[in-house]
Amino acid sequence: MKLHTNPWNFNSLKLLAAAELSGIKLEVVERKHDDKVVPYLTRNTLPVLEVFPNKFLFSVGAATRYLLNQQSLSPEDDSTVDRWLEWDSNQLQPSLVPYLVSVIGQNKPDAFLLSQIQTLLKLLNTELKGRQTLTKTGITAGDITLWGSLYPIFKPGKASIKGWEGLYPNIKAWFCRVEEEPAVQKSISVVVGGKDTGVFKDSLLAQPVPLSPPTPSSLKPDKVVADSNKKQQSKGKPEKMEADPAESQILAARPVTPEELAAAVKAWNSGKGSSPKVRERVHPVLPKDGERNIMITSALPYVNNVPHLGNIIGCVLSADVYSRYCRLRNYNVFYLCGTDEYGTATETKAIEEGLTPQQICDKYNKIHSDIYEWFNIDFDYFGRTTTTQQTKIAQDIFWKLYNQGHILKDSMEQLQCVKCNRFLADRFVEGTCPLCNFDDARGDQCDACGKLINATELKSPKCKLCKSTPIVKTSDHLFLDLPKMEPFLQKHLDSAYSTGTWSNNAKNITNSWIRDGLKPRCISRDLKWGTQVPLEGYTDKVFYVWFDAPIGYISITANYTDQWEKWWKNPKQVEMYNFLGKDNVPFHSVIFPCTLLGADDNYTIVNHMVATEYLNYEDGKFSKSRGTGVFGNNARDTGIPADIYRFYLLYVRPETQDSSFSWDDFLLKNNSELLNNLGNFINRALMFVSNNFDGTIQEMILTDDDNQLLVQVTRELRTYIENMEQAKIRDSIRNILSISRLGNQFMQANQPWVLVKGSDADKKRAGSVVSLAANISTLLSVLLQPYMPATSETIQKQLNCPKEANVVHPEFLCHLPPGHKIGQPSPLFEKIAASKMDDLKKKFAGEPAPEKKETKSSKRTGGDAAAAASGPCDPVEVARLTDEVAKQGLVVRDLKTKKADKSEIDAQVAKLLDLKKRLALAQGQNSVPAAGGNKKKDKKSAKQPASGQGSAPPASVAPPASSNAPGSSAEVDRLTEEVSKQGIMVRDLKSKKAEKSQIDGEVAKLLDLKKQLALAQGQDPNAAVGGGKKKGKKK
Amino acid sequence: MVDTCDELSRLATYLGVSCGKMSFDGKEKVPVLKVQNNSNPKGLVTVAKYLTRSSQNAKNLLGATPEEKAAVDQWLEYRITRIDRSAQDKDVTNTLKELNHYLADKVYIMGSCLTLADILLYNGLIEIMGGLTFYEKETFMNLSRWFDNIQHQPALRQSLGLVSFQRNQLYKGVKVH
Repeated sequence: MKLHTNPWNFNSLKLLAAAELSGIKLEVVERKHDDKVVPYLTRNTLPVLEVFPNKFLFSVGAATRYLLNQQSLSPEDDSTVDRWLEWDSNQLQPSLVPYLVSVIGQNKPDAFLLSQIQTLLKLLNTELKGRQTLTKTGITAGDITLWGSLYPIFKPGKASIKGWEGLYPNIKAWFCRVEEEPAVQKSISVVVGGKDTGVFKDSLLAQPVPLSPPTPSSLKPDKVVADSNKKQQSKGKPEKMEADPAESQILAARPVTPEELAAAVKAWNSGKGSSPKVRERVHPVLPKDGERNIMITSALPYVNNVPHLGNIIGCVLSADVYSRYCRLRNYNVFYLCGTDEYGTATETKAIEEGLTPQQICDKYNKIHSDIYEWFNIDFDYFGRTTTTQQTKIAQDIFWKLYNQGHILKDSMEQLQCVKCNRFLADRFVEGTCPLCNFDDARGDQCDACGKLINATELKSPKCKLCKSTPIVKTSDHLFLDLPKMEPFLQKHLDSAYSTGTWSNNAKNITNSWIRDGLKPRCISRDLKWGTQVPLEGYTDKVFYVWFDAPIGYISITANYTDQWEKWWKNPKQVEMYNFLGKDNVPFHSVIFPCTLLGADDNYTIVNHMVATEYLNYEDGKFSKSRGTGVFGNNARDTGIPADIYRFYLLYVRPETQDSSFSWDDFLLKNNSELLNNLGNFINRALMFVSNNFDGTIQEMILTDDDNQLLVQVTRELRTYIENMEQAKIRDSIRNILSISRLGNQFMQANQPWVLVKGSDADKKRAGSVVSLAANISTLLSVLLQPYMPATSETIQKQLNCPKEANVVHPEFLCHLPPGHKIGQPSPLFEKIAASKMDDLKKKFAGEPAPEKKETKSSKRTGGDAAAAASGPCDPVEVARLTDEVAKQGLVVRDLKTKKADKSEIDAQVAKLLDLKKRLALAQGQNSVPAAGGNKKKDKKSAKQPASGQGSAPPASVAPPASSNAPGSSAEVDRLTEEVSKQGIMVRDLKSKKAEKSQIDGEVAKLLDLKKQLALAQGQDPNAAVGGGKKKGKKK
Repeated sequence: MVDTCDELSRLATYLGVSCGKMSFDGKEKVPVLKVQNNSNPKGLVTVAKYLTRSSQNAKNLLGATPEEKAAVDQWLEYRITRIDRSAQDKDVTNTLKELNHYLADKVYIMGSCLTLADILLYNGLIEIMGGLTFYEKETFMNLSRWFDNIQHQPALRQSLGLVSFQRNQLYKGVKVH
């Protein structure tokens, strides 16, 4: 039997191991990487087992099994072996091999393939639980085959998956078991010879890659091309880095029809005269007769949360793209948004920062609008909810509802903290879960058993802020009678669903809310910061934020123009689009519409709803407290332009399922799609016109192939429009990139750089080609505008493009006629280095997320994690916390001097320690506990800000949670011992009449220890020190 | 795309066995069979082989000798990794070329006897063969001959339609490999 193989082909590992296990002697025939051994195969598949002369087995799995069967080592009748061999060839190889090619062969690991592989490994890990081999009978062909396949990603080398042994422990055990076989070791030494997996490079690059599983859009073509001479539409070199393989199939799929050809040519020849006029934008934007009037809202971001990239793509950015598109279509568009400012969280934050709620809102509203400005969000108006208009309109709507009898009165039991003089929101109550006795449950849900509870049901509840026990108070409240509105809502939705654009998740969530049965919803709260309820007897209450906030859309409009009713009481002329994240859907599709329907004043109600899923950060969640993910101004600080972020976020916009922001992917998309595809095409085309034709567009005489190109571009253009009309924002990006790809192929096929050096006719052809390319670039710049407005503008400047081109029209027109002079071209995008990505990944990694349960409890104790915190240092936050610590320190000292109640002191000390922890975290410090001396450093850091330095003490460390609680008796014991030991040493030194400096040093140590002890005992350290000193002296 | 569960029930009918509790695993996108001893064969080829083994008179469908068994496995694998994934024109062309070349001197995939390889390859190629022009079918003469042979076994084809082939050569100068 002969084994034909090229050198360093990882698949040979399997065959050699199998042969060795069976004691079969194989004659190894060395082949070149691209030798075709099997006569009937069209590919250079290797390795191949020649069983009899000229009888080959080209399937490695089948050959491995065959070799092992010789000694009955692999049961022929075992379904399990069948299954794993099939899994290897059907599931693993199609992801694994291209991945290996990308990482070992090309040095550009494909993150998507890697994630697919990891999913497969998870499955294998689960299956291998409790077993050392795949079957009960020992090592079989399944084991050898999978071992060989996984060899490159588990052994040292570029492709090795970091930490795989920990991630997949069962696989590790199995892998090691297989490698125990001497036969396997022999195979490794023959094939790899002690080197790392980099040796597989040449083989990987030369060998055919397994076909990938069919994607939904890659349908089988209707006609099979038997004759390879048939003209294919996509001539020229194929793209090396396909961003989306399905696309190139679509491009080549349908042949061009004569009707399409005629139409495209006609449109082209008609010139830009047939383009609609660009609409002027005049404020205030108001609905006009005979036009499509579209009001677009983006969910109002909550004011005191600095938005992260997930928030941004979820609402304002998505709505921005859509509204820009609508303007390009000459629709009459009004895009509004603002900050949602009322509510408990703002009140709490205000107390924390020592400002009034209004001041907090002013501060953060500015932060929000600055961030959105940087991201180039083009609102027609960005407002806020804390205006007199809001009060006026909300109260007006309330009265309308009240007078129509849609408001019910009822009383609710709520917990009130007497000390803080406030009713406690659910999350400010802690206690013991009534169902499972978990003693750290929160007022709305128990973290241990996960059940929803009411705060009033908690056993031994405590106020989260001051730890005192709240009292149960009955409070009267107002309820919106949703069930009464249900039929009207259903009627509206039925019509809206059929005529409007609703994302699937929006429909599903809305339907399930209605199906579960609408209940009366409480719309009032016992708070101070909010819109006051005007009804007698309830005037000490404010409206619940989710009743009040959507009305914010209306009041923001009212602050924009006093003719706001033209938008809001005009359902016949106005279409309203809501853009939001899926967690906001019920409030926008059920509660707000019911509010407006109930008020019965011809209000405009949502017609279209586009909801996004969640954007994760590198497969985890964005977390402000852990410093994970990109927030607010962090994006600007990275030095990468806003347009790039916009592009990437829109490219991975989570439309039908959650998606993930990945720096690796970000790099890939920038470098491959933007730089190599889009930027490359436009830059090439314009440089050509500039360098070879004096920057002047030439006469364009189109050949048949050129006309085909017109059709294909038109197809993509129309699909773009179709997608955008349905708010399929992600899909439309791909149309843009397809057009750019067509452009690149066009340039590649015609090779104007060669033509330019040829005859006059050739030069003319070159001029024609690049001028057409310049016109395609114009189209691209327009289609790109909603996504990357700054880049679009740059391109148009480089093209010296007339403003009239900025219309999206279903025909591809010639906006740059012969004779037009372009501007100065220059590269549009910069390559991002992989090293920069690594830096950014580290910067935004934050602390690793602890286990789910621990997250909650560790959050309570101040958010410590054992690992080093390397989150970004927000200087604003640091300064603020430093102030807080100082203030709190004064409070504590004050209380102790006044000899206040011990429990009171304890509570304040706890607060102080908590603040210090947060300060340390914000400073990005290591929270690994130092051995002893914690309290000492803690004290120092408290003292320093008080003395006005305000900078982070360099070596100090945030104390760990558990050993820090004042009065922890273990700590007290330890310190007491230290104090007495140190005291003895000092006495000793003094009696020996040692050097003064030495004595002083030891005395200082003693005093310090005493301070720590005092703290541990919950006493005033200064008092203790004073006393201690005296005691020391007396001794 | 071939409906694999359908295909497996047809196979079970042909084999004279009950196809039992078949379901489809959405994650891996393969059919699964629930069986008593819990080995639960998963994957088109695995289930097909399992059904074949459980049939009394069909053991040789998997190959008579060890070499044949390995070859049958190989062509079954070819079905799922090549034929089912030939989405682009050039992949389909290559697949057909390869099979055509291979079948030049064989009545069935294994030479002179019908095996499971013939059945699964037939199933996988129905759609493709159905879409070929007569010119193309003539170009892949051996493949067409083989296909026509398999499809004319009523027990295999069951309720599926016949793909039509011309018996006499229509085109001059067709390069038959």
